[in-house]
Amino acid sequence: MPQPFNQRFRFVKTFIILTVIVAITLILFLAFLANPPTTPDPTKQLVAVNLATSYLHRLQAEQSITEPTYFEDRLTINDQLYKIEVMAVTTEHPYTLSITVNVFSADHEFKGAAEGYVEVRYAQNEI
Amino acid sequence: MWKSVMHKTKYKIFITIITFALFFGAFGFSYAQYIQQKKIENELLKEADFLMVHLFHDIFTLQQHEIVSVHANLKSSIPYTHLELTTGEKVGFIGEHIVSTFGKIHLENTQIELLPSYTISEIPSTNDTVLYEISFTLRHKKTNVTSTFNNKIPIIAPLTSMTN
Repeated sequence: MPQPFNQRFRFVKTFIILTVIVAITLILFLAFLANPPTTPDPTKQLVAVNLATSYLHRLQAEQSITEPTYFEDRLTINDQLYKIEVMAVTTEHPYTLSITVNVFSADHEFKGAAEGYVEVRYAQNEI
Repeated sequence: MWKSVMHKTKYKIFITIITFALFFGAFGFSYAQYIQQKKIENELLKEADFLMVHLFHDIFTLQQHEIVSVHANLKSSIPYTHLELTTGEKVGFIGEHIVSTFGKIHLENTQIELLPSYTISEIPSTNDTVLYEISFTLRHKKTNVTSTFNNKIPIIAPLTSMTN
């Protein structure tokens, strides 16, 4: 026996409404998933730049670099690891070295750099 | 007969859809709370980074002979923990802000406060490096979420190399 038109229409209408409700709920849920838990932080960039500057100032104060060199180091700030690359190269001036300090966050998302010079003391003594 | 079957089917579909809606809704709500928690932790970390940027530069470039002493009194009306330098400058925490060679630094986010439980102490090290440990706690005023941050910063010791 065929179903009356009214009854079929009511069933289809209910089904469509409920499907739309579920779809909206799902879309909202997926929208939450799509959003990353954290937003990009400009402070991280500030930390990277400041670390590079601090490291350069420390090298200049220590005067531990006496010849062209390259080395890597690591520092941890607030439980976040930063990779440091230091490159010292000769300059036109015989008693100075140009130093470049690059700082990278562990995920390489942020980078800071600082450049400066160190005076090579021993060179004067040798001459 | 047909009417009864249709009624049961509609009922089942209705219950299924409602169950799914509740299930995903609950997940969405939990995830929203997780996002909120992460957001607050991220804000606290951001402020901690901001504070450490200033303290790190001062302490990391200090030489041993430039430090006169460490002063600390967390029970006074304005609690403090700071290094006193030979130049007369102070580096550390006073009240709800930090002091550095850059001057007095306040927190950027007014929703976050610095709790007066901060410490600065020299810690023994295995090699020639002298380390200073800085510990402080930040609290999110609205949610009462707190995070404690510990940092160990090597100062410049005589005749040491950072590269090892």
